Amino acid sequence: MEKGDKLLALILVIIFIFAIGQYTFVSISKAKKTIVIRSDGEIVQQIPLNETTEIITTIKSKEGTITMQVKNGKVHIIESTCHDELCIKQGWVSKVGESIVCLPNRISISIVGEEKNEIDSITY
Amino acid sequence: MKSTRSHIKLKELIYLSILIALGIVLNLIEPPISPIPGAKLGLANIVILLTLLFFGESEAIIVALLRAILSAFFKGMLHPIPLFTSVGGSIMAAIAMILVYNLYRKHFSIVGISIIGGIVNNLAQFFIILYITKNSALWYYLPILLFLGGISGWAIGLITKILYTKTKTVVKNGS
Repeated sequence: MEKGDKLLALILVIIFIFAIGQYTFVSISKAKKTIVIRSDGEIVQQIPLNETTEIITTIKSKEGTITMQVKNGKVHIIESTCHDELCIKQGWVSKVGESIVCLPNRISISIVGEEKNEIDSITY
Repeated sequence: MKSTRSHIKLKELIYLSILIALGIVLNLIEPPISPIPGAKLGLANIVILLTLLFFGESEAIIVALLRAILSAFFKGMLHPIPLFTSVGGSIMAAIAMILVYNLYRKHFSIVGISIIGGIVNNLAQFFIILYITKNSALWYYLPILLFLGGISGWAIGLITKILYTKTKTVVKNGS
């Protein structure tokens, strides 16, 4: 093992600890959740997410359409015009920070928490 | 003299073709890693790394480019956006590995170079996806993507190292 390899291993350990910390922090947060839907890079819809939300909606973009279902505080894609259907295979998402991306259709669905994430999305 | 040189050229061409074919097959058969859809180990990087070690920079770039495009052909996925993402990741990883190999070879082993390739591949794909979707919420996935990229790069580096030591004499002597 060379010097640089050891440095890389150290960096990976740091990233790992950081990642674990971040995901633990997110999973215990009790922020109000909102589903933010982006199509062709622009926010087209925002839906508050809680245990009672129950929606089936179709999202359009220039490239295609996907159908999203919200149930029991979770979101998943049930239909997509894209070829790889990775968005359907991803299954349910429910935590703040989680996203479903349909790259061929340029549609992304994210679950964001209150306030803090909102500011982030404006600054970026 | 001339015939010997073209003989070497031909042999190199055959090896490169085999490497590209191997890269395509590895990419097609490798299973996805579960937590993030579309995430893969990146076994095709073995081939790019081997090309770099055996032949050189430009060959590695060519193999990376052709491998990514042809893989998409075989999967029947020629949509420009995913194609751009996968080609972009592959090329950026190849460039990063070439730079490290040429400039800091003393400090990094094959495994280290591969780790950098894995991380850069995921980083490049992440920024392309970020640019396409304009979704800042995706930053959430960056740490895990970097980590997975590094770990898979590690595994790939180990495999490449074994393959390189075993095939070195065959490829270099050309028997």
